[in-house]
Amino acid sequence: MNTPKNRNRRPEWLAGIFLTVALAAPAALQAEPVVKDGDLPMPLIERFENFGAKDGIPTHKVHAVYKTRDGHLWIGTWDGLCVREADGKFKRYGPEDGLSHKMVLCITEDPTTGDLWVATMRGLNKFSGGKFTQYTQTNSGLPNNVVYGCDVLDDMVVVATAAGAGILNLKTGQWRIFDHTNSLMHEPWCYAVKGAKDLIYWGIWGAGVLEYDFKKNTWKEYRDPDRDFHYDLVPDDGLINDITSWLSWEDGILWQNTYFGFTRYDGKKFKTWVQDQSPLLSNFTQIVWPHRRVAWIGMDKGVSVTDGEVWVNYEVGTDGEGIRTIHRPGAQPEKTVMNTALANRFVLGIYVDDEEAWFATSDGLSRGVYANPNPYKRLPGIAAAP
Amino acid sequence: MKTLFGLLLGLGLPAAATAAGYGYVEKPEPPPVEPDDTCVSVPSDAAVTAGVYPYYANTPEEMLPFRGVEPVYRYWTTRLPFLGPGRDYPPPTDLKSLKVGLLSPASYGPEGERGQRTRKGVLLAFEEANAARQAGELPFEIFEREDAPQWGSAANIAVEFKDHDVLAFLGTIDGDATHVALRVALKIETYMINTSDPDPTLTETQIPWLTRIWPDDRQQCFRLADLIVRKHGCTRIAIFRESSRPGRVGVMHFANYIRRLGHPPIQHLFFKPGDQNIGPQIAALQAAEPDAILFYGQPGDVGRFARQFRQAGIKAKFFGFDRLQEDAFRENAGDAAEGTIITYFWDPNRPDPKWVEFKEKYRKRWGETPDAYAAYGYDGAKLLIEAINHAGPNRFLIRDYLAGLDEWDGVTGHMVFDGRWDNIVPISIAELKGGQWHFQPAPPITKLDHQKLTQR
Amino acid sequence: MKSRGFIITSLASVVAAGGLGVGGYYWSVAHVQRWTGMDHLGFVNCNHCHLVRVEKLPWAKERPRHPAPAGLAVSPDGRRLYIALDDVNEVAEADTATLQVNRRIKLAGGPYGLLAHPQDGRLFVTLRHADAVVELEPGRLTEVARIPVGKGPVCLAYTRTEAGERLIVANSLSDDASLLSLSPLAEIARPHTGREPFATAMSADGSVAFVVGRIAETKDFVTPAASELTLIRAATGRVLKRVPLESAHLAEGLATVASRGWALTPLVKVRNLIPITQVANGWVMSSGLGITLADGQTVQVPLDEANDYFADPSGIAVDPAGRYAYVVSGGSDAVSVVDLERLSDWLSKACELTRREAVDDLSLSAEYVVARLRTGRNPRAVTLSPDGRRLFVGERLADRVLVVDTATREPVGHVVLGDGGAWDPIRRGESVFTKAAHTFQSQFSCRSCHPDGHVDGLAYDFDGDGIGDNLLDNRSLHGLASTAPFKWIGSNPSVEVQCGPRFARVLMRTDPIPPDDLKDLATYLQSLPPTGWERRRDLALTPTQERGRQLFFATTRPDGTPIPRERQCQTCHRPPLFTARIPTAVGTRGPRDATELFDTPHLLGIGYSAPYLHDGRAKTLEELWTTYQTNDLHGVSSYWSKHQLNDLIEYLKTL
Repeated sequence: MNTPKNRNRRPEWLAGIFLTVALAAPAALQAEPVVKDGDLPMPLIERFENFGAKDGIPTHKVHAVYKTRDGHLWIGTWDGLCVREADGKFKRYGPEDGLSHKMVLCITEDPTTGDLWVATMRGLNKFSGGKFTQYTQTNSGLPNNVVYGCDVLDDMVVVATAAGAGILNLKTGQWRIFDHTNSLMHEPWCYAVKGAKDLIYWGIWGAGVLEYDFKKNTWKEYRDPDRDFHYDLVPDDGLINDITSWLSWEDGILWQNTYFGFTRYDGKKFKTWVQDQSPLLSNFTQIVWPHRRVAWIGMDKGVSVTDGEVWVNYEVGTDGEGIRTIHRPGAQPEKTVMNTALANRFVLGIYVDDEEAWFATSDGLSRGVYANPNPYKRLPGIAAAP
Repeated sequence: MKTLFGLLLGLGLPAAATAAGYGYVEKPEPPPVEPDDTCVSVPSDAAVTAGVYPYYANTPEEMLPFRGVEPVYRYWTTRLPFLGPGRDYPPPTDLKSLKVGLLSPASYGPEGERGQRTRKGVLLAFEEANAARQAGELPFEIFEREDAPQWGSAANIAVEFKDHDVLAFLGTIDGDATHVALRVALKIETYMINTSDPDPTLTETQIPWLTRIWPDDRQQCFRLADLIVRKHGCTRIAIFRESSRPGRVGVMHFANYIRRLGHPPIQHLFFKPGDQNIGPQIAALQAAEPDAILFYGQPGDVGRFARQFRQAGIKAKFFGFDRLQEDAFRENAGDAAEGTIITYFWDPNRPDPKWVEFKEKYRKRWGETPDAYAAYGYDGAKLLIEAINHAGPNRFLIRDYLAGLDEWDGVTGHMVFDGRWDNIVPISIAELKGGQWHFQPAPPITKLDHQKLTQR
Repeated sequence: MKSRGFIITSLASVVAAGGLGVGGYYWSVAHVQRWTGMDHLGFVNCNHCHLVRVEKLPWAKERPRHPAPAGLAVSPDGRRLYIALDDVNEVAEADTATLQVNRRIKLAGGPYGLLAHPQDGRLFVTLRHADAVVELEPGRLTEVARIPVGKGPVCLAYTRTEAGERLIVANSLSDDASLLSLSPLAEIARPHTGREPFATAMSADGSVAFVVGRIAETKDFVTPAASELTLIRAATGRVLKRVPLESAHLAEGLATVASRGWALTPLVKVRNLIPITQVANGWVMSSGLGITLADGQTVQVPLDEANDYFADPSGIAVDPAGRYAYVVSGGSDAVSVVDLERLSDWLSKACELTRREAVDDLSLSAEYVVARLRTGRNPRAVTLSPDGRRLFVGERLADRVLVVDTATREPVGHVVLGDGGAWDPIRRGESVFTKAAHTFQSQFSCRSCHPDGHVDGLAYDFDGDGIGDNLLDNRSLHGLASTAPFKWIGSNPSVEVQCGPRFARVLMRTDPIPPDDLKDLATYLQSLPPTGWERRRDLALTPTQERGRQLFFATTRPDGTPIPRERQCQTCHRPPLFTARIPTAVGTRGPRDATELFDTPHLLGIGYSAPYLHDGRAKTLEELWTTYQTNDLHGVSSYWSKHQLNDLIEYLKTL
C-alpha cells in the first residue's frame, strides 16, 4: 500500500517525508496526529491505504469504485471490472468473461436484486449472479455504446450516453430514450445521471442539468445563466457552467461537477465555487459522491470535501506526501502534512460511506481511513442515513 | 370603440409580427464608417489583458459581452494543465507501427467531399513522413474510420481508436461528431487534432486533449461583424442560415457581435438543407428591407437562395463564411453572387513558397488543387507527426508537446494558439468581382505576450 | 341456322373466356409484380395477399377445452389434492383417500401453478394468462387476495425466512421471478432469471430460492447453449448465482433435497450443434438430471438407458427423507424413480472427468434409476403427500391424476377429471406432438424442440452433410395456420408434408407418423395461436408503438423519397399474418447457404421467438437492422434514428 512513487524508492520517500515534516513544522504547520475534527460535519481522513498492481489491479487507471450492499468492493478500470476478494486481492473480469468492453466507466447496484450495472466504453452490462448480460446500441434500445453513467431507480436503469439518455424498464424490457429531438435536451451528449426519488437528473455536456419527472413525463432545465463559457459573471446565480462533467443527488441536494467549477443546488438556492476564490482545489472537477449532505469531490488536484461551508482538502505534495487542509469559514486554513497520500491526485471516482472512503485515481486505488470511526454518530444535526 | 380597436390593432399587429420574428423594424442611426478593416483586438481593459492568453478568443473589445462588468471569473486566460500520470509510462515493446487515427465524415454525407479532401491532405503528409523514415524507425500507420451521421457513431469510433492503440487522432468536420469524439478523447487520454470543425464551442469544453488548427466560426463572426457594420456601414442586417446545429452555433456569435455593435439582426431566418421553396423567407426579407444578409449553409443551397433573393428584388449586400468560396455557390447563384464578400483563411494564389510547394505536391499526388480542407488536413498531420517524432510513442508526452504549442508554421500559414488550444490567427476576406474571388491580405497576426508565456 | 348461331356463340364464348383467362393471367402477374416489386416469383395465388381473415383461422376459433391437470398441491394434512386446470379455468379439490373430486371452482386466467401453505393450507395459484397470483381460502377455495406478478406465472414455491414468509414465482413469459411477501401479499423484488423460467424450489434452510429456465440461451454459433438455474436470496430477492446448465434445455422441474443440499433439475440434454444425422447414434437429444451441489457445481447424469429413452422429463418430486426422486417423462409416459443414495454414492466415487462425461454414458442410469412406473398420456406435474407415501402424477392429456403407493410403487387409482378428449382431433394431435414413440428409440418428441409448440431458441444443424456448419433456426409453431409454405427455404407446401415421410427420414429416423396421426397433428398445430395473442389482441397501441407502426408501413422516407416496394416491410410481411408467404432475398445468405431466398416468416408473436433469421444469427430484434442489415435489403433502415428503431421494435412486440 504505497504511493506509486515509493514503489521504487521507498528510502528516499521516507526520508523525504520526515525531512518535509521536520522542515515544515516550524512554518506553522500542524503535525499529525493533532486532529480537531469534533466540530466538522464530515469525517477526517487520517491516512490513505493505496492499492495497485501488487494487489491485482490490472492497470494504472481506475475510473470508478463502488461498494455493494453485501460488502464487496468493485472497481472499474481502464482494463476491466475488478472485485476485491477475501484475501484482499482484486479479481478481474474482462471481455473474455462477457463484459462488453474493458474500459469501465461507472458502476452501480440494483438495491433489490444486487445486480451490478456496469457502464463501459462499449455498452452497458448487467452483472448478476456471476453472469454478464450486455446491452449495446446494436442489440438493444441503448442510445449509444459509450455509456458514461448509470443508476438504478426503482424498476428503471437509467443511463447517460454519448448520444442521448436512456431508461430501461426492468419489468417490461422497454427502452425509452431521449435526446435533443424529444426532450428539453439542448445537446444529446449526456455525461452523468442520477435517480432522485421521483426525478431523474441528467448531466448534459453543453446543456447543464435536466430534471425529468418520469411520472408526469415533464422536463425542467437548469442552465448557467451566463450562457457563455468564457466567464462566470455572477456567483451563485445558477449552474457554474453548462458543461456538466458529473452530477449526483442525495437527500434533496443536487451537486454538479464541471471543468469550470462546482455547483450545489438545494432546491431553492444555487451555490457555486471556483478555484482561487474558494477552497475548491481545482475547477477541473470530475466526480462527486454525496454522503449525508457532504460532497466528496474528485478533481485533477486531489479531493475536496465540503458541506458547503467547511472544506477539507486532500492533496498530494511534490514528494508524494499527503496534505490535508481544513478551511473553516472566517478562519485561517489548517494545513497538515500526512504520512500517506492519495495514490494519485487525478481522482476519477469516489465511494464514501460511514466506515470509509474509497478513491479511484489515474494511478491506483486509495482507501481513506477515518480518524474517528463512525464519525457521523456523534454529530448532531446530520441527516440520518437513508 | 373604433378608436380602441384601432389602438389595439395598431399595437397588436406590430407586436404579433415581432413575436413571430417577422419584419420588425429598427432604424437606428448608422454608425460611423471606420476605414480600418484589420479588426484586431487592442484591449484596453486591464482585466482583459491580465491573463497569459488573449481573453475571449481575441474578440475585439467592443464586441465582448458585459464589457463594462468585471466577471467573477474569466476562463482560458491561462491553459488548463493535465495533471494526470502517464508521462513516465514505459514505451510499448511490441509496436510494429506508429498508429494514428483518422476520423472522417461519412463519404455519402453533406461533408463527405470535404472530408475526402482533408483525408488526401492527411495521407500526403503521412506518405511523405514514411518515405523519410530512417532504417530502424517505425513507420506511421493510419487507422481510418468514417463517421455515420447518426447514433453518435463518432464516439464509438474514438473507442475503436483506443482499442487499436492509436497514439493520437485527427478529425473531423461535423461539430456533433467532433464533440462526441472529443469527450471520448478525454476518457481514453488520446490527443485529437481537429483540422476542420468550425464549431466555436468545440474548444470551450476545457478538455486538455485537443488542438484545433482550423480558425473557427467565432473568428469569422467577429471579422464579418466588423466588416459589415464598421466597414460597410450596414445597419439592417439579416441572417439567413441552415436549420441545423452547425447553422445555429455558426452564426450565434455573429448575432451577438452585431448586437453589441448596436445593430441586432432585423431578421434571423432559417432554411432546411435542400429547400427549394423559400417563398415565406423571401417575403419576410422583402418586408424587412435589409441592407446586408449573412448566409450560413452549404454553398449549393446558399447559391440557389442568393439567386432567388436577387430575382425577388432584394438588394442587400451578401456576406458569408469560407464555404461560399466553393464553386457550388457561384454555379448556383450565377450573377447574383457578384459582390458577395466572405471570410476566408488566406489567398490561395499567394506566392508563399511553402504554400506553393504544397500545392504542387498535392496536385502531383492527387491531380487536383488543394483547398483549405486539404491544406489544414496536411498541416494537422504534419503537426502530429512532429509531435510523435518529438515525444515518441507516449500519448501523454505527445499531448504535452501539442498542448504546449503557442505558435506553429504550416503550409496554411502561421498559427497562434490561445488558452483553449484554438488557432486564433486573423481571418482574411474575399470579394467576388467579375466572377472571380479577390482576396485581401490578412490582418496582422496577433502576437502573444511572450513575456507572460515565459513566466508561466 | 340455330346450330350455326350456337357454334358462333360457343366459339365467341370460348374466345372470350380464353381472352379473359389469358388477360387475367397477365394482369394478375403484373399486379403481383407491381405490388411486390419482384419479377421472379414462384407460384402465387390471390390467397397469398388477400382473403385471409384472422377470425377465420383455426387458432382464432373457439376450440374444445379439456380439464388437463397442470399444477398439483397437497394440503398439509395430506387429505386434499388440489389440481390446477388451466385449460378450463378451474381449480379442483380431490379427496386423497377416495380419489373423488370434492369441488371444482372457476378461476379465470389459466390457473397453472399451485402451492398449499405448509401450515395453514392457504392455496396460492398462479394465473398464467392473467399474470397474477391469487390466494384462496382453503375451505371453500374462495379468493381472498390477488397480486400482479410478471408475465406468464407458472410455478411457485414457499419458504419462511428471517424477514418473513416468502413466495417465489416463476414468470415464464417475462423471464423473471416475482418474490412475494405473504404478510401482506406484496411483491418485494422481480429479479431476472434465465429464459422462460418454469420451475421453482426452495433450499432446505429456506434462505435460497431456485428458479430454472426451460429455454437455453446461446452466445454464438459455436458455443453450446445453456439453460440457467438462478439462485436468489429468498428474504430480499438478491441474485446470488446463475448456474449454467450446459447443453441443457426444457428444464421444467425443480426440487431440492434437504438432506444433501442438492437442487435437482430434470433436463433435456440437447446437442443442437451436432448434425441431425447423429440422431441414429443417439447423440442429439437425451434426458438427464442436473444435480447442483451446495457449492454451485452442477453434474448432469442420464435418465435414459442405452436403447430406451425417457423423453421430455419435466416434473420432479423428492420424498421427505431425501431418498427417492420421482421424475416424470412426458414424452414416454413414465416415472423414473431415482435412488438418491445410490446416486450420492456414485457421485462420491466419480472423478471430475467422469462427472463431466457422465450424462453421455447411458449405461450409468442403471446405477441409480431403480424403477420406471408407467403412466397415462403425457405426465407433466408430480407431487408427493407430506408423508411421502402417495405420489400424484398429473397425466395431462388423459385428464387424470395417477396416484401411486410409493412403498409398493404400484398405482392405487386415479383422480378422474375428464374423459381424455380422444374425440377431439386437436387433443389427439397434441398427443402425437408430445409422444416420443415417433422418434428413433423414443429419444424425443416434437415438444422436445417446441415446448408448448413454441421455440427452444436453438439453431440445429439439419444439413445432411454432417459437417455441422449449416445451422437452421428453430421456428415457432405458434400461429402457423395459413402461413404455408414451411421450412426455411419454403419448399414444403403444408404441415403434412413438413412433418411427413421426409421429415421422419431426416430427423426422426424412424417410421413416418401414420396418416391419421399426421392429420391430427396438423390440426393441433394449426390450432396454436401466436404466443401471447390473447393478452395483446385488444390492447390499443401506445404512442411509441404507433410510431413504430407508421414506420413499418412507411412507403417513403421522411424527405419524401419513395421506398422501393420490394423493400417496404409490409410488402413481404403483409398483414394480417404479416407474411406474404413468398420466399425473399434480404441479404442474409451465409457462406454455407445454398440459396439467398428464404421463407418469409410471419411476425405474430415475434417478440417471443428469438433468435431471428434462418440461422438464428440475430439474437435480438434490434440486430436485424444493425448488425445483420446489409445495404437496406431487409427493409430500408439506413435513415432510421435510434428512436425509430426502438419504436419499430415496440410495435413488432405487439403483433
